[in-house]
Amino acid sequence: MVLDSSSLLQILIWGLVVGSIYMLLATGLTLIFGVMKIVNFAQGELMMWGAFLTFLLARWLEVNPYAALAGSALLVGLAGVAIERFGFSRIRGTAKINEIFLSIALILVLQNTLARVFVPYFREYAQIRTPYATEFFDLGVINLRYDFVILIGLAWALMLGLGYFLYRTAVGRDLRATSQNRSAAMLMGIDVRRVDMLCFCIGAALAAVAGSLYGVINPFSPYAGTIAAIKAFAVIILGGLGSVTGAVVGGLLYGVVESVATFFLGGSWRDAIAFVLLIVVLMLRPEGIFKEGG
Amino acid sequence: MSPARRAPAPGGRRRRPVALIALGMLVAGGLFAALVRDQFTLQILTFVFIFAIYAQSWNLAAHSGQYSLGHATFLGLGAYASVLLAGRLGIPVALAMFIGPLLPALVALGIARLCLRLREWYLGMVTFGFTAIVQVLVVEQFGWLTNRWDGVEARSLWPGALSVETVGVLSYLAALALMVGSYLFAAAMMGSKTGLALAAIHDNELVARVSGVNVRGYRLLAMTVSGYLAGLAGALNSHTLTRHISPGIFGIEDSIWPLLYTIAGGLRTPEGPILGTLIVRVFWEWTLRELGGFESLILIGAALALIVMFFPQGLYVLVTRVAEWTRTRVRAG
Repeated sequence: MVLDSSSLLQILIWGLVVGSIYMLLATGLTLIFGVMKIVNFAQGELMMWGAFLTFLLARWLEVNPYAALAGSALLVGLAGVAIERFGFSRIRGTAKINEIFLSIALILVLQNTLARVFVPYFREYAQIRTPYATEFFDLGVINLRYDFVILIGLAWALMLGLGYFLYRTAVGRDLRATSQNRSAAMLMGIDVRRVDMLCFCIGAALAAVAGSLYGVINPFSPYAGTIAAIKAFAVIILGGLGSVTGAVVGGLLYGVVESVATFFLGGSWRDAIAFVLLIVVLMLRPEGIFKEGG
Repeated sequence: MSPARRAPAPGGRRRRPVALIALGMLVAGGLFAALVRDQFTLQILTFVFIFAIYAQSWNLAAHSGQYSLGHATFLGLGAYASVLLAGRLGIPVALAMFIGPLLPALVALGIARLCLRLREWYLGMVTFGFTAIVQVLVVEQFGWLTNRWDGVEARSLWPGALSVETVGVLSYLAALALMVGSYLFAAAMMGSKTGLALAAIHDNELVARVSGVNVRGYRLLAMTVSGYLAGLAGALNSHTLTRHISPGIFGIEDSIWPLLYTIAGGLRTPEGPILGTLIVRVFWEWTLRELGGFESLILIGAALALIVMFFPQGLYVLVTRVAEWTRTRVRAG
């Protein structure tokens, strides 16, 4: 296969764009896992709800989708709190398989409610239209879409903001403490139930942003989130369950790897690549690349 | 989790009347077919029986602590192997159905071997990953054999001369018999010394190893048996109900349903998968007819969420509670 420098650059940039979306999803998942030691597979459905709400808000209020995104993240974040309160908090501490079971039950509810609302109006796919859809920077060798720049910038700004929150504020310190040792945090007077809710809120809001950005660069359907969330989970296993650094680095890196590998192996391998990678790594290091930490 | 807090396994250590339950299922199933001649109802129940075999297979792997999220690998490979053996080599379908699942059994053995050091999430994700990989392999690398995404037509289990009604009833009875067979097998396995070893591995692998349990051997055994049983369900499904096999079988859905059915019914009990498949599936068909596709799945999701919150040990617990209650009443009265 012929590969010149401009298409290589194109693939890398696409990888970074996709990687930023994985990064947001994986970070939300790993935050929740760190604190509650559970995995919410329904994160992918929250992601598609986020995309759909952004789409609707931008359309109805006739505002810029990047502004609508904030409203969508807020709504989905609240939904995350509800899911924690009425669902996961009740089964915490029971058998591990019960979380998977509840996640799947949630997937059924969220996905089909979305499909029920979505399909009659938009048939199979919708795409979020931004005012910059046709604008691009001319960099000589390649054209760089405005949306790509905004997307990467937004994702990174959110990550920096999250980093500041986690490492420079009192609430962030509570959150990290709970993640490191739940009982010790409780004994220090931290209200871990509020930390749980906060984590679910942040996680769900990040998923909504991820979904909205996905909807800007891809046509989306109510069913697009499931496999994305599972791949994001594969990424956080590789990066070490509960590790935010692992999720950020892993998510970005994985986006690039997927993009390059898809180019060389063909489209049908796109979803399997994450798992080939996961299997190879887990065979060599059954605990993941980075060990679990705060 | 501390041992003190853990509730005893559903069904407890009390010996269950396995033979009686098996006979009851056969009689009830036979009577139902004799009384209800509606083709559509029988077809739904045939599907329930086949998926109860599949759920049972998942349950056996789970009994050893290997919670698979990729059982569709075995379901699909069993179906493909059997369909291709019968279609390309002309082996009688009734024979191919039992030879074909040897392929998923072998694949399950290989996957279990690779996953020996993995547990919980890690194991779940790797098994899930294999399904995605097997799907691509079936479509791309073996496309010449499997007709890629179009799939392959499956020969019927029954001679072509029979009427549609007869074929429906025969398929129903065959599925019922195989389901009861798989129930007897699972009950025997769980009740035996092997089952005890598997349960020990499930509860604490380290303690099991220290007590002299051959953890490696038993884990491999459980997955291999489970792989065979899942493949058998896949083969039966293709030769009776769908009459066709395509790579769609390696999707996420076919991997999660056995998990949902089993846990809803009663995890790690031989009756659970059957009860769960029957209740969830019949509820599904009923809501589907009354309300429509999206609404029925929303309701099922909500029902499952309620089940896990209020009956974390599955609905089978209700049956044992009623049995317990009548027993104490009889003793007291």
